[in-house]
Amino acid sequence: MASKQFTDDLGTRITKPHRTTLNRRHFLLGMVAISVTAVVPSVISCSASPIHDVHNQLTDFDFATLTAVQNHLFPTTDDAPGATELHAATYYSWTLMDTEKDPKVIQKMRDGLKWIEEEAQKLYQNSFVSLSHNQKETALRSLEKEGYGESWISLTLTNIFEALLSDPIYGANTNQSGWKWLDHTPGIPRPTAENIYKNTAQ
Amino acid sequence: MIIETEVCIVGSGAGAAPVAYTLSKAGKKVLVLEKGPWLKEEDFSKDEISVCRRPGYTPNLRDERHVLETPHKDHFDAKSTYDSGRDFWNGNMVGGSSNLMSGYFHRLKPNDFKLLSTYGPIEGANVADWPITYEELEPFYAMTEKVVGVSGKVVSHAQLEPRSTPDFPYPPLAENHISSLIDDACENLGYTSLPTARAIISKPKEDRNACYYSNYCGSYACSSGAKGSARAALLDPALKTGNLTVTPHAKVFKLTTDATGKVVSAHYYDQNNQEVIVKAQTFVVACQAIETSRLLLTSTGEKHPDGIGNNNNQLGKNVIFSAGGVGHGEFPYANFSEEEITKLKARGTFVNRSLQEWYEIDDPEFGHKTKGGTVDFLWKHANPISRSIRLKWGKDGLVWGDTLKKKMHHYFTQERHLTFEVFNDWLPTDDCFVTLDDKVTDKWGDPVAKVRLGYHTHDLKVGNYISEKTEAVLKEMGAERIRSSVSGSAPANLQAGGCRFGDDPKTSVLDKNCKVHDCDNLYITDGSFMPTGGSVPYTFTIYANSFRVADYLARKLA
Repeated sequence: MASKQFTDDLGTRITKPHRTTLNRRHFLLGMVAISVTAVVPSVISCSASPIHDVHNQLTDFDFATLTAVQNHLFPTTDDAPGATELHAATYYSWTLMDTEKDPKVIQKMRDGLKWIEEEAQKLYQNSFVSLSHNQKETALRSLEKEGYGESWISLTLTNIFEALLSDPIYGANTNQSGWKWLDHTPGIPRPTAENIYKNTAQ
Repeated sequence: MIIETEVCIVGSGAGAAPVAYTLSKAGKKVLVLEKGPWLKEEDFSKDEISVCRRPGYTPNLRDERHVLETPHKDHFDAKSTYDSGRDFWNGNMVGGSSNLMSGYFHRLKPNDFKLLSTYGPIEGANVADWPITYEELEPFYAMTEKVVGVSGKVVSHAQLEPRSTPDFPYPPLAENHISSLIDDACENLGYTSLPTARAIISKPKEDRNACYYSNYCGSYACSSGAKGSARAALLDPALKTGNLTVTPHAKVFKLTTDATGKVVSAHYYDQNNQEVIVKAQTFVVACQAIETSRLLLTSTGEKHPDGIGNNNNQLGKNVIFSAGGVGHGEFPYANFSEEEITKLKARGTFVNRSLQEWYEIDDPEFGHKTKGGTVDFLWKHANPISRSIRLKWGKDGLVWGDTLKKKMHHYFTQERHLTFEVFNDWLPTDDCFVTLDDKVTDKWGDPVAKVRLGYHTHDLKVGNYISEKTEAVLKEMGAERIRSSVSGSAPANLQAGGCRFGDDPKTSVLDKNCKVHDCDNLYITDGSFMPTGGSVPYTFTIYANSFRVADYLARKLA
């Protein structure tokens, strides 16, 4: 491991200079048509894992938006798991529950789901979940042009990487599918229920 | 509650443990106060989430933070680490951040003890000679190699420092095929490739097991005890004397002095936030440079109105980090035979190669002989989440979807990535120091350390010179997409200074034995003592100096 903390491979929690989260005007939210019919459960069954206990972190609407965003950013492919198989949305929800995490980051993770829905409404007068693949791409690229939007998408990608490559004991990286896809060998000893996060937090 | 002991040590890391080890073996009753928890081998895992992605071994920034003043064109911007997200803590646990070190153990060179008289002054830098010589510290480097446990192989080269022992006490750790490629490239270029000594034992030692090549070493605590952490190597054996007590969850917030200026008690908050008072005859502070300066600045008294050791306004001044930078090169498997690919893919084995070819630079570009630095080669860390993060950035912004997945798959399965790190002197200047913030406090209501992080532009010049030379080594090896970056960004894990030692109390905080000039029973044994840092990671020298001070104390207190 690098001894220098300014290297980018030290597991630092910052990967790019923080961008200011701007408070967007929320009047657009009033235009959001609550037309989502596909309700995705925000509780999954993965016994004894931390994300098993996730519940009521997001409305069904926001959870559906999150799932659609993640599936676009990290789709299932023939050779590799996608966000759905990784339980990435529930992992994201678990992160929202983390009282140790910087509340500003948590707020950005919540706000981002509103921002992308606003973007979809602005561009297509439709919910993000109902957009075509190309429309989703356009909406995300449009949001990316704003500093706060880029920051949120970046955060969401990093969160997907955690779902992909964390120890399966957390409930994501199902059947080590992320590790197997990238030919990754975990370090030994692997974590146990006693020393996983947050049991180690000071 | 009041506790009485003979020697009270604040901190339990590389600066503290040699004193605890030596004095407890000499029959003194020693109490070590550590702010963090007492984690042991069985508590550690290689879990990237709890170790690297979340604050598992450091305080939550909501509760405890620093204020950092970072340089901009003509001013410094002050921001708390809670607001910036730039965490400046290291390992808060028994054994301190030595639990998490990589353990690159290079000694300083004789000239590092007399930088000013050897290379002359540099405008804008407060370079000073040390009050001791290399020869005075050498026996304690040798002691550290033996007691802490250092593996490696001594190779003759132009910069090799004098040694009292012919070789390291433990043979080198197993190496990857890439090490021989570095050797070949260096030979072609006329450089001497050096095996890197590591504070990791390659054979069992007493209750410690040998390295088991987990592939997760730096930033992670060791599950076999092979890494020479202050906890595994020194505190654990010292506890067997029955003279040492280690108290975790003890946050020392003040030292109280009497009318003569001597320290009479250390005050700490226990796990229940109750104040506990420790009375002792001798006090030692070693809680890493920034926090050591903070504690002394906080500890005002009749004889020390501006903090213990600050009667000449030197406390917290001349803080140093390690200057330099990092570089990378990629080795696509397509360029190697099947046999070589299998060797390169071998996980867990070490690179363990260094260059000290430019420890002293003799190049017209600098006008005269100039102090240079050290290069260490290592694999890019195995942490898969951290390695993925940079892959989300493309030339025009974020990358996602199929493009991202193809990029990730190629990166992880079709090539290996070699890194080099350059260590050169972070020159002490008037723009790098610790004070107390007048607004921000920790969760107990005490002022936090405010650290100004100015650097000298000479540091960048030296770092860039060495990086360019090292990039040529990677090129000779056949690496692709070679790149490096050198900056003045201060690495929090390589901090020293703030209580420099010297013969003149007007320009230093400590005497040559690391006793505070204006306090007769207080010693500082972490990296704070260093007037200049040398061009290597600090831990080896911190261990050696702490053994030196411990030896002095054992004789003085006998």
